[in-house]
Amino acid sequence: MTASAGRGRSRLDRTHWDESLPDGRLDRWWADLTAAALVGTARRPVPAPPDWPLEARPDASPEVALLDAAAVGSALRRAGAVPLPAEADERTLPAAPDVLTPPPARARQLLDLLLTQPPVGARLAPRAIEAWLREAARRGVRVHHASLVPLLEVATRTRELREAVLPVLDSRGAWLAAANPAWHWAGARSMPGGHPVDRGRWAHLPTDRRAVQVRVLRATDPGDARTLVESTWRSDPAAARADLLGALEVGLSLADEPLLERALNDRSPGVREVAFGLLDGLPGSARALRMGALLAPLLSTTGLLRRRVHVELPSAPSQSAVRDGLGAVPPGRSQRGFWLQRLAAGAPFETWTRATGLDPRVVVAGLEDADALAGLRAAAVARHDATWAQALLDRGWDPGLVRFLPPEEVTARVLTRVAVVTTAPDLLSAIRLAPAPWSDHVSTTVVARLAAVPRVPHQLPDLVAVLADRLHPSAAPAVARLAAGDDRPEAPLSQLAQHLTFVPTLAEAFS
Amino acid sequence: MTRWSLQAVERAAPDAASLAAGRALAAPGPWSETGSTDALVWGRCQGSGATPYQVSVDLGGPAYRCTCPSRKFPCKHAIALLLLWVRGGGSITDVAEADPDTLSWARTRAGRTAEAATARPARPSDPAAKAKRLEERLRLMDGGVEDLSLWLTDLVRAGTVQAKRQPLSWWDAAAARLVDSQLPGLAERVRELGSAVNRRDDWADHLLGELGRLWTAARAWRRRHELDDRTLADLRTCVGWTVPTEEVRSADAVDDHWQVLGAHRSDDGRLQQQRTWLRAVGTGETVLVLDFAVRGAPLPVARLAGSVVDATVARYPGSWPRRALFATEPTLITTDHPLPPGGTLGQAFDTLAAAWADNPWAARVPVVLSEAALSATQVRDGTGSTVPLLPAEDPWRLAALTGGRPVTVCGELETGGFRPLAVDLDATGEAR
Repeated sequence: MTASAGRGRSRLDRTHWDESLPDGRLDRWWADLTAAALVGTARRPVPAPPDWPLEARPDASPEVALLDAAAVGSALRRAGAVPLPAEADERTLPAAPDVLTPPPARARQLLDLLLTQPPVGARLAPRAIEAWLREAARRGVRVHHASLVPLLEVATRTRELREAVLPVLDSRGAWLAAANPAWHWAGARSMPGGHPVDRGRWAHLPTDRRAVQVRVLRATDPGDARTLVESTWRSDPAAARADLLGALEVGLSLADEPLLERALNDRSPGVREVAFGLLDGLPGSARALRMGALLAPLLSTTGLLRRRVHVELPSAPSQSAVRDGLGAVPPGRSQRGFWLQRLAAGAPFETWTRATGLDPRVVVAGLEDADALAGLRAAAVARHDATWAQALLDRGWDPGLVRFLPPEEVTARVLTRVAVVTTAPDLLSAIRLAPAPWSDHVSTTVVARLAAVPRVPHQLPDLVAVLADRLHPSAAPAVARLAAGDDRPEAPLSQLAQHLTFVPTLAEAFS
Repeated sequence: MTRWSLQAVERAAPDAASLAAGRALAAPGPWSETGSTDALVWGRCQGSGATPYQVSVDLGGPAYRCTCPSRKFPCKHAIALLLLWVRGGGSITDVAEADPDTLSWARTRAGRTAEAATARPARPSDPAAKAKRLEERLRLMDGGVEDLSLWLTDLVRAGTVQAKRQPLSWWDAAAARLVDSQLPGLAERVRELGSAVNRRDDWADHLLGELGRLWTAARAWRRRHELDDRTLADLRTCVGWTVPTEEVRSADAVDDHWQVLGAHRSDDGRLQQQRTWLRAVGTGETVLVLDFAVRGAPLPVARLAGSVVDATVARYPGSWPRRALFATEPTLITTDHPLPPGGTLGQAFDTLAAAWADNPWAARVPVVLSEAALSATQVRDGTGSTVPLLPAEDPWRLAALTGGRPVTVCGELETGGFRPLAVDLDATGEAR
């Protein structure tokens, strides 16, 4: 077919039509007819048809003439329609050939089952799907094409699956995801930072968007991100200055010191507070040295073995010390105690070891002052310092510090904590920190403790989600025994037991 | 006859609502003159009216009778009676002699069943009465078509802008008159037109074309005596005068192996429809099997595209593509038959135009496209022509399977675009 859309054609008398109705005449007549129909034959005459090979009824009323014309015209236009030629640049390219291995039949069936009727219950289905995806990625296997759509849909709803989906999509999956805006999280892998920063409109963007962009940019080019913050520093309101300064915590370094020193002079207490927090994380900064100089004279050792650390409370601060954070005190706090906490948080750790001649563990063990300990903890968190976190943890469990320890020490700390927790939420907050996958020993210990604490139904789902990801399959029988007390099929612990027996079958399905 | 179990009564209920209503009535309060024998249970149930409903159950059939106006079968009264009876408890007493009225009903019924079993096909119908019914129906339809013609001329005299301003109820009223005139097919077109005029941007163009097709149907109906059988059958389909299935079954059946080309389900809120396209492996003829289910009721399971069944298929009268039904229960031959060779989009459009030349009211034709690349929004053939895809349940599935690479695709071509139904796949489920 070569005729363009709308050109009249009829099987009855094709030649005649082609000659008698050159391009466009039928369309023009139909447009006139539509216009007449819009206002009605009472007000507009029916346009004369092009050279019909059929004779119009001479006796027809205007209404009948219009309906006759609509009948013939619509038949001609419909029958004459042809497909459109594709625009050259609109041609979407087909997907490139896949590079990974297709999954074996058993693994395919298993994923289909997990996506439609998960045998582990809806709550743990994402965990089981994730286990499938990780096993596939480990073996260089891709997702079969038929399951791409349901998988992309599940991962669009369940954000935590996305990272595991990406490595197994292969060319076909990436091609598909790029075509659907809802799946752009999977198609746009090449742009981890999202949209590039629009410098022209930077000052006019909402603060929360700017703060996100600064954080993203800090990961690749911290200096550039800081320049961006400085570019509007004079004109931004106090709240925006505080938020944007806070975003510099990503990739913080001494290069940020000039801006932070400038922020110490800020007229807004909120901005100054952010600056204190960031400078606490820079023990090499001038402010840290100033704080250290104020702290050092307050430290001494006492006791027979000189292993007890005594701290004097600071006295009224100078103008410069007020600027560094020893200013107004929150209501209800001891003034000098608060200043001591500030000094402990801001001073370099060396101030403590040098002034006392003791190593960090001994310093913390011999320290009784609560404000000084709180300051040390803030410093350890701000500086991600494993040594001092370790020393502080010797005095008591603190989930906020555990993450700075090396992985094997984290596990040891968590197990110590697990042995003493008495509630399910406490157990959860502890085991969350233990890096996955867990060994047989860790799994056994955790399940044994779970058996000993009261299991309040509404507290179980979160706990079970964490256990499903990390427990060693060997813990399955113990979990099944725990679940036996509750035989509802949707009970979280029953589902956990099913999940744990399911996961080892994954590896078989792939082999 | 052994007493039924409670489960048997529950299974007999047509739906959960009837069962719940039956349970509410299954108390001795409203019941009187109850009794049971080996084969029958009966009683009177005081409803909202003055006269109690008379309820009878023949346990052998089982068969149910009740004087209430309910269209549920069995009705809640019959279920309540059975519930009372299975519970025992003395509210229904076993007696030796059945209630005479119930007994005569059961005897007549048994007689009828026996008669039907022995002389089923030769059910004598009265030709005179039949002719009278037909005459009555045609008179109604003639009146409906005249009414539609007037409605159409009034509409174009006042202008389509006026029609656009009308509420949906105006279109529905016109459709309801057509239903009353036994023209449900035309009624459906008018109702659909009302919603399209409200929904579409190109409503003026669309409305004028549809008015033309309705006008064509109305004019053709007046001259139906001049039409050949095939065109008359197309017109009957268009106005919604269906051919009874027994008539189809007994005429024009073909025995062949039928390949399932593809199937599509649609749901317009009131009615679900399933279209299954079959292709005779021997002759290459394509037919359409239609299944309907009212909302909520299940449709028959869709036949797997690519499977081949052995069956006798009876065809409705009319132009290609003809509607058909399975006259015998199909038996599966294979599940993995490749699609027949396809053509270009241009050839597919020619096929559609040819179908319209025979039947101006045809909605769509089945086509097989070769070298067709599918995305989620359009199909492109080997010559570089494109057609938009019609909204489908899952436009992404076929795109995922084919990856935009050229494959053989089977689907439906309509005015608005192409609806892909199946692609050629190998046994592993990945596209060839």
